[in-house]
Amino acid sequence: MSISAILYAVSFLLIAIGLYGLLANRNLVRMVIGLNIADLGVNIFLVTVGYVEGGIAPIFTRGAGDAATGVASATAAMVDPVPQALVLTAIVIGFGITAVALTLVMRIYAATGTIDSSRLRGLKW
Amino acid sequence: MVSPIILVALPLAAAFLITLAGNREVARIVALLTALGTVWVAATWLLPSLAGSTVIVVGGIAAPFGIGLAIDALSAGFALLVAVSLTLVVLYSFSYIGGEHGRGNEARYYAVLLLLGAASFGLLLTRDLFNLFVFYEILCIASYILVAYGQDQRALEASFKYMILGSLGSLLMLVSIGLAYRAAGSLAMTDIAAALAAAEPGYALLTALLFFFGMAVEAAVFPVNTWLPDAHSSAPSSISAVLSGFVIELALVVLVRLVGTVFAPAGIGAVLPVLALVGVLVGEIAAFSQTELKRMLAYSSMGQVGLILFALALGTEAGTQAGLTHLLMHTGAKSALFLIAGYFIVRTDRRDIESYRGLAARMPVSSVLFALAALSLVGVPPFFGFFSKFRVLAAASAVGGGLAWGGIAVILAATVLEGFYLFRVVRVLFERDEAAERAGGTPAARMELAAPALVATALFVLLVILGGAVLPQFDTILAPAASALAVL
Repeated sequence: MSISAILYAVSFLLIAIGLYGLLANRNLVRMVIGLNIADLGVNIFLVTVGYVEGGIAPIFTRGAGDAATGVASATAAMVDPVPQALVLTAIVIGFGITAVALTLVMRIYAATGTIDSSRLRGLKW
Repeated sequence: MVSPIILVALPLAAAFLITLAGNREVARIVALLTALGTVWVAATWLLPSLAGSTVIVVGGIAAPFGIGLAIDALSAGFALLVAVSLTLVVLYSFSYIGGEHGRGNEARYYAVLLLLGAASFGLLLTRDLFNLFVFYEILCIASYILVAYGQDQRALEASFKYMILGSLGSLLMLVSIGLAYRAAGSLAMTDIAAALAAAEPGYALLTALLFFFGMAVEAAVFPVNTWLPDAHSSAPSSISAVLSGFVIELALVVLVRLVGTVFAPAGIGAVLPVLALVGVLVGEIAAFSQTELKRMLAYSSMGQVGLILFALALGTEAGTQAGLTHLLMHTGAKSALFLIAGYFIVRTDRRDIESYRGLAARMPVSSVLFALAALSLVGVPPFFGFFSKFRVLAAASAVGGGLAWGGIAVILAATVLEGFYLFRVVRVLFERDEAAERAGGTPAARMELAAPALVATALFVLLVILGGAVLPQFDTILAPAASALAVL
């Protein structure tokens, strides 16, 4: 089994675990944790999209690739850097959402004294 | 002419400036000037972009290395609508957030509102799928924060519920973007459209469905619109006006555009009218049974958005144009209704319709404005709502077939329901409060909307009164915008 296949499997497993945690829990903090696990799964998925079996870091140096094929042969051996850049952005966005979510949980606890969604009036869905 | 990217950069910079200053007066002035600035930029780009799409190059880095941005008739027209709404809502907030709703940090309110504006403009300009995701997330996070601004239990819970559904949606959207990149090796929408056309049908379908689900949460498409009534009714009324006025419509337009172009190979466009009509029915029936004014208006938005989606998804130029016309009307009418409802709540400290009995005696101008906007929303001639709804019906009958005629029946039934519940509110407002008169209380003092709020609301109402008369002028923008919706 190739590394990509394992990573794809892991990422979808993590997304499934996270979504289950998000939907099956009544505890608001656990819901946020579920969201984070799913987020992690998506990030692993994105990195795997750009993964090249046996690839090297995508850094061009003088004389990369041989004279005959030029740059093309050099890029073929490199992992794709674009998904990695996307993941960096996605991690920052995920961090931002988590911060907002935890702030909301904190305020909800301060206002109602509970973080159990079944005991919150407006959270029935 | 300044670059349209100023539309994104200016509010973004202003938001950070306001946060740094942290001063309420500075925040107000900067927010208003920024909003006016975006109106000016959008207005200068409106006429040039009617002729065709202009590619925007940022920082001298052209595609394929730079991020694809473009402005066309649809982006420019919608940007102008967003900018004008934003300006009026900022004006309204001067008295509403400052005087009457003030517990939170007012400077931050304006900062986050401007962030929401920047994200909205970004969504209109971008031609890059990941860039779209980033702007979408900024829009979502700003919305969550603004919904929770009141920090009472209701608002916090509504915001959390909204956030859970929204994050679920954006998560799936990100998976879809990953799948699209895997197929295309690029994030530009045109490349992805080509790659998905060549990909296996199942792969394209999965990519399209995941993206659809993500965007549909924000666009309040049935069945992922359950957050809407809570969020729109618990938010400060200025924010309800923004969310119902242009945010869901914006997500809707982006969704329809992408489903029709980038994800066209998956062919999921056919389910849109069905979901739209179910949304119309669910929204209007739920609105009918509400006792709280803002909740009623929120459910009505759900129905109206369904109507707009139905028209946009008809697939004809006339249908798209009808949808955009109705969208314009809905922005004017629903924003005005929410803004006035905000002051009903402030003045009476009650949220249910029954306690507004006889309010017109004390808030005559506001009540008349409310009635005018309500009449337009129902579609009574000679208001704008009549023309826009008529257009939708005409476009549907031109298409023909079972679905279109079923849609016409649903829309007419929904109009009757709308008439019932909105006229009920208007009747309550203008009824004499006999219980209070018997109690022999002195005639209560006048308590209209504060002056800036009244001006902002009146301008929204002006749009729905005059909209029908200036429809030919609007059409010079709406027609090119409608044809722009079908292409990237």
